[in-house]
Amino acid sequence: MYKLSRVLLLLALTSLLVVGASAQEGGILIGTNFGGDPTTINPLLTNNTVDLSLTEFLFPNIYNIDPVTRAPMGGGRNDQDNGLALDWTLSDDGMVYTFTLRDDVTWNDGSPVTAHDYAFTFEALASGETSSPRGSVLQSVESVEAVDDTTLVVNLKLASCRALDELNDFGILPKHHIEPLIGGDFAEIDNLEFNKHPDVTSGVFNFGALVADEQTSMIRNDNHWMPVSPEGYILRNVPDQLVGIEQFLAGEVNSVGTAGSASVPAVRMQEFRERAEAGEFQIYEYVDDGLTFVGFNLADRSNPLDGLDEDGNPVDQGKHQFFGDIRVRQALAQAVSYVDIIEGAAEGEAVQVNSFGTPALWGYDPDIEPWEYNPDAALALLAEAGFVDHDDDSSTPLVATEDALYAEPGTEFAFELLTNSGNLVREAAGTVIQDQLGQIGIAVDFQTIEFGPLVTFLLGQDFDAIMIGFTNLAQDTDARNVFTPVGDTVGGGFNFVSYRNDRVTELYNEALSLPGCDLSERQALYHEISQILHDDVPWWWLFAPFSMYAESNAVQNWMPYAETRYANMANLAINP
Amino acid sequence: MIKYIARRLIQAIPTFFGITLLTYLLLWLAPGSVVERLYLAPNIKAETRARLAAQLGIDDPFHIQYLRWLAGDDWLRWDSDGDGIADQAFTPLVPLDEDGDGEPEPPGDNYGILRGDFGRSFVKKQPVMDVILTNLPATLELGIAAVVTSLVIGIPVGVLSAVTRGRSFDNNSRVLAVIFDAMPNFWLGYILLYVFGRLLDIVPIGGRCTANLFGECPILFERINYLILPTVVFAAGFVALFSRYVRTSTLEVLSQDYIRTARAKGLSPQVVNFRHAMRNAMIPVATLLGPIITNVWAGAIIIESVFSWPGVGRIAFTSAIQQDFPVVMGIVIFASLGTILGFLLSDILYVLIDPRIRID
Repeated sequence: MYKLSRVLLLLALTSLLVVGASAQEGGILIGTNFGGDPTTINPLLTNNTVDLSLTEFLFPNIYNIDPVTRAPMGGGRNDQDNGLALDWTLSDDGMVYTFTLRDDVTWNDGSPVTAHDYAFTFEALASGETSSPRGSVLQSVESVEAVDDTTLVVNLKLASCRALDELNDFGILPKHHIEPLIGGDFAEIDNLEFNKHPDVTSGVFNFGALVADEQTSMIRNDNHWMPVSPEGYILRNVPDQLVGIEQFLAGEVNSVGTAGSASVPAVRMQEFRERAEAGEFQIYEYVDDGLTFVGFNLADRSNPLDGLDEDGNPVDQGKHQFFGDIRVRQALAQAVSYVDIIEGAAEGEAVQVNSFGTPALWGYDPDIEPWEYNPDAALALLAEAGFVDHDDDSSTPLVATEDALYAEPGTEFAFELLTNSGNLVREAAGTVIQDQLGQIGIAVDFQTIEFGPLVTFLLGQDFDAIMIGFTNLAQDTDARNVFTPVGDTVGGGFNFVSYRNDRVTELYNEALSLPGCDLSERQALYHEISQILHDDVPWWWLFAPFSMYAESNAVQNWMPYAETRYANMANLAINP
Repeated sequence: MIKYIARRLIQAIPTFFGITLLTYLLLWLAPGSVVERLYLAPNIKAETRARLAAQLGIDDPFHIQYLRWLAGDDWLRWDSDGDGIADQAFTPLVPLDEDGDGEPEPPGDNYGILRGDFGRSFVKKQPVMDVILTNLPATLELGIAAVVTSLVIGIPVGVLSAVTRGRSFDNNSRVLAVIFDAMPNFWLGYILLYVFGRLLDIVPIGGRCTANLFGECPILFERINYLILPTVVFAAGFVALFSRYVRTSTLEVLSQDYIRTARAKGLSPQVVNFRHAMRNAMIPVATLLGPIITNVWAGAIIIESVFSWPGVGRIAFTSAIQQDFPVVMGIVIFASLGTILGFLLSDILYVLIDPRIRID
């Protein structure tokens, strides 16, 4: 018995050693990247999820994002910790942020990461000489000062509750390395070899190699304060999603998609659930932070004008003959079955949204009742708006009577609905809309066109209705650029539907400049905005898709969150 | 012969410029831009997009953009005193201060295609030549493998079909040739990847090298398993093409008097078919080499995407989608030159193979 106990003890110790050794060795994490090569690995210049999938593991940020709440998070070390800020304060007048940074973070060449690095990065951005698209921070931030290595003072132009969000919109560059390379000319940042092969970094990985159209790799940074287990992380460049999924199922890669993208298509989700249930691999599902909608052009399409003149005064943009009338928009919102769109077009892998945003955003109000399919109510509203079935033939379009606000009497109710070709879900949803509106006498000329022309029509405000999607919505719910006249600029603004509601503008401004930026108080304001947007229907609120991560069983201790595939890289172990 | 080649090359110059002008015009006419492709988001202001467009020069009129690509812009706006600030401009085309902010725009630093400067990729921010040359070896590797495979298989199949005319080998090979010629190569690619990569697990599912931390790619011999499927798919259509041409040509040759004479002299069928008949039957193959080079470029766009093969076809596809003009134009130049030289090569081979033809 004694001998048996000793043998068992020995076996237990051996197995512990084996497990320990396996976790130490870590293996190599291999993901698939459907988005092409990174355009840059410079955290100031990044502009897509592929770039960000790399820079998030290579460069520090000013603070961390809580993977559960998606809120800014200061404080101590944790698994996904790349943030410098231990804490921060906001002055009583809401105009000055003061950050206290950690003093124990170093670049991989041994130099300390300091407040001067952040100030340098901001200075480069503010110069306007780089091709950085991350300029939104300049709307609210006047200047950034590094008081000493660990104290950063941010002076705002205006009290803005988005400022904190915007300050974290870019990773931090190593000043001591970049400054000598550019010789004081920030425009040179665009041309650095560093952008493709960043040699001085401060993340859990060091940069490995970029092989064009083939793979990008990162190698474990053993000098990081929280050394991770995987020896490295490789993103294989696979242009065809179908092929990438087969590579995953064949065990050639560990994940479908990059760290920053889910990438299991809706048509395969049920199959993946069943396979995961059978133990073939692991999955994690969540509601995406993007939504699909139809934007109604509320202004006169034949003469697109900015919403404000040079002095900031409202401009008369005319009215769209159909969608200028709120009753018509509300009628349409009740004229189509959302069940048919979600179950039929989106394969059931989506949830109906009630207003701007998705259930993934903190400003979203889940208590607002979404629009429901009620064709009788829709017809009654259309009749009230002056559109009637003049010949008792439902196969012919309704026509406008003298009661119509903006359409000439006798005008048939027919409009053009555009979406981008190649998106099968939107193409199917458009067909459902075309069919069901046709049943109540609205003729929809549904067209799928290439994305480039679609954007030109959209931003040029030259359309009747466009079905499109917003993805990666900001953590903050502020959407002034989308629903107030500030964003209503022909050719570039995102209020391309020319929506204007003074109460909404007022609420957005109030939520943005709320003293103290209390989240619950701001949430209440955004809920009020959401209710108005729901009722006004400037967009036809459709759905937010489900997203699914898939990870092979070789990846142990996997702990994903919505929008964060690897929240605990430090503890991941990859079985070779 | 040299005079002929020189004349053909000179004749190709207007064709070449016509191609570049037409391609640039088509790209320019396409709605949208690389800036809208890459930077379309509510949190990116319209002013930012306008600034980025100005940096890339894509907000200039067509003739300025094309001229800059063709002849560079160092003569449009330049710095005469060496202080790094432009102080002279070719004002009939561009002003010194274009945006009216009181400051001159930066001096031009592009030399243009006529002086060997292909420009820089809007997206990759690298010289276009570097972008293309990085991926060119992969395309050449695949293209050469496909052409050699198709010649090695297609020619004997064509000859054997001809000498066994009407028999089962001939009938089966002709049916297969029609099938493989008509079959979309992306579809064949998916099927082969699924069967041999996924179900049988005997070849990798796409790629050119095994993923590794240092981005190293061993010599071809050590990674031949990655090359097999894309070569088979690429070569399938070419085999069909070659075998049909060679069969028709061989049938024609086999009915010639000198073949009957050779047979009458008692030569073996192998010698008659493969030594006497095949050389003359090769003439149509030579004429196909020009179009084949064009087909390699075109086919690479699809096949490289399906098989995750890091070649020029992949760049062509993504650059066209992203409206990365300089890269698309660089690839068009390579493709145009390849096509022009391919057809020239066909003509030269024609002369070498067929002694009846003389170039004047």
